[in-house]
Amino acid sequence: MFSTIYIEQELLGHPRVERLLGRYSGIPVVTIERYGEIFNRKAQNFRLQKLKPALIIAKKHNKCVLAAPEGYGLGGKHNYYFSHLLNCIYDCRYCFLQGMYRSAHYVWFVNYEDFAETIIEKIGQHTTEPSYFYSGYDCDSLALEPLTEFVEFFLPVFAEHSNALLELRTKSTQIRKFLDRAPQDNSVIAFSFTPDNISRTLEHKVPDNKKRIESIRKLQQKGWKVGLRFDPLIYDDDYLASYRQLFDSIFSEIDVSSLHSVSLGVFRLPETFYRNMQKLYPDEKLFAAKIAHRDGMVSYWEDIEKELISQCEALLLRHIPEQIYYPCVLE
Amino acid sequence: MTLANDTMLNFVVALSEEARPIIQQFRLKRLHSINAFPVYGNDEVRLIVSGIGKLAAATATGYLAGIDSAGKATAWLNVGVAGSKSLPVGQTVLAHQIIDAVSQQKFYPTIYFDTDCVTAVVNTVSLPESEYLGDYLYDMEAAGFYSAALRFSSTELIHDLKIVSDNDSFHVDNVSKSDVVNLIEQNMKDITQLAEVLLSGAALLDSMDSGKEVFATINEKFHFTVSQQAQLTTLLQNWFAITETSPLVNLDMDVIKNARMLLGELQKKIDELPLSY
Repeated sequence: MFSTIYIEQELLGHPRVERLLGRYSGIPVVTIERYGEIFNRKAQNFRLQKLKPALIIAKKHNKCVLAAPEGYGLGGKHNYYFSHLLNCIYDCRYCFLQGMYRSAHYVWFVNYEDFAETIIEKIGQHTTEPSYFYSGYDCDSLALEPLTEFVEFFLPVFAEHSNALLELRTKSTQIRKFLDRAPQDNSVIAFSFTPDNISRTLEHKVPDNKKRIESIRKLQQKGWKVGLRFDPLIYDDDYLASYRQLFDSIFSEIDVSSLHSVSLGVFRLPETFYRNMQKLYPDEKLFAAKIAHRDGMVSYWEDIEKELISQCEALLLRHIPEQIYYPCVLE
Repeated sequence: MTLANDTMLNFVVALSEEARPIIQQFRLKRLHSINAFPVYGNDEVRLIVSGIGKLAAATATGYLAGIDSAGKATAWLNVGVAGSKSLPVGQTVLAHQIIDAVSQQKFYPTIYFDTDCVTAVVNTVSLPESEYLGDYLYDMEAAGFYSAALRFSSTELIHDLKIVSDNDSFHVDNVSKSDVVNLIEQNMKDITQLAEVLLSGAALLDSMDSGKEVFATINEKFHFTVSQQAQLTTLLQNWFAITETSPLVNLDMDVIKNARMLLGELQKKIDELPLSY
């Protein structure tokens, strides 16, 4: 699964590391000082590395929890994100990670206790209003769960803090840990979708939509809160038909009345990320057509972007009540 | 001289005995116009005999890169014999870490491919080592080779393959020239397999430059400034990302008068192309 396992020296013997190493034999294990030695070095090719990434086991020394970017969230005032992993086992062509990082290796921060401490500290800063914590910004929250035990650790942390909400964003079908335990009111599993044809073309190694819908059904049956994220919206000549079909297939299968939230997101990237991504995949049509450069950001042409949002929004609101819809925030 | 190919594999070896089986396997010809080092080549593989030591390896690597401007689609492979405390003579080992024993600088080749080879740390020393302290392989070139090659390619395309020639039971002084030739010959399968993997990795990067032929055709017709050439490259990449047909079919070259007009027309045609996934 991994080409190599790099471990920061100080983490040798850490129980989570020991458990992981027990599962993998025959993979070269290399001791390093700091993860940046491997992850941040120059002269790396993300596209080649993505063919067989390494796992880098590291300790996050500070900034375990960060303020979420403006406009990100579900209407709350205090929004934070945190990442126990950098990079993702999936290979979505629109993903900003491939433009942001030099390396496609996975960095796994194992010092969960430090993350938990910071989360609790942040919650304590807002006792009268809820705090929102998002996971899945720099990685898929669930895809490596059998190895990382992330959900297993963090759900109990949030169980003790009812004025905080945890969103776990994912495209994974690794939901066993949820099915094995009682649902928590303040935890939302948020699934991202694009239409079938786009998913097949742009979301490499991702479980197909049918399997993800099936996971949602199982979670809802068990009583877990589920969110839907149509982010980013992807344009093509038949987008309207594709999104209509996607919405029909999802909402005919799941329980809309118990849905926690639904949001749309636009395809937008910082210019530098876009350039890196286009260099890596110059043969990718996503980066080649109907693209506009505005104020250091790259997105679809303005008219296309507006049309895409308004049409998809109209389609979506045929299926869900407006109260659970969180629209795109466009400046 | 030039060996015109955008995908290349460069072998760097210290000894002519290490070179001989590789030259035979890849049918390389001596490039007589080059005198500083013995260099052999064909259309996609070159080999340089550096001599012993990390400085010689670094110099030869840089020299080979300079011969025809090694670019992003060049892979590098250092092959040679090495000593080990416990590994058996004849064992092939791929380096997952290279340490310069003097400076303690460390390098981490990125093994992004499946391999049956054993992997280990290669410790590059300045003098032949027979104590074999630690769990290392001992050589005299890898660190010099690697640090130099990193200037020209990415870590995924630079590798170091060693064949154990001596260990605790077979002293380095007993290794003869013919032993070296035999060791390389006996492990040619691993060397060839790795060479193929690296060449296909280099080819993947090379395939990222689509539209090169159309670029050449258009570039001959009009005068493009450097900036316009860059624009043309991007537009052609965009074109071929969306459709496989040549843009030359869609552009009315009799009407287009200059480079600027061509770039405008090409962008317009790209905007009009149907887009579907």
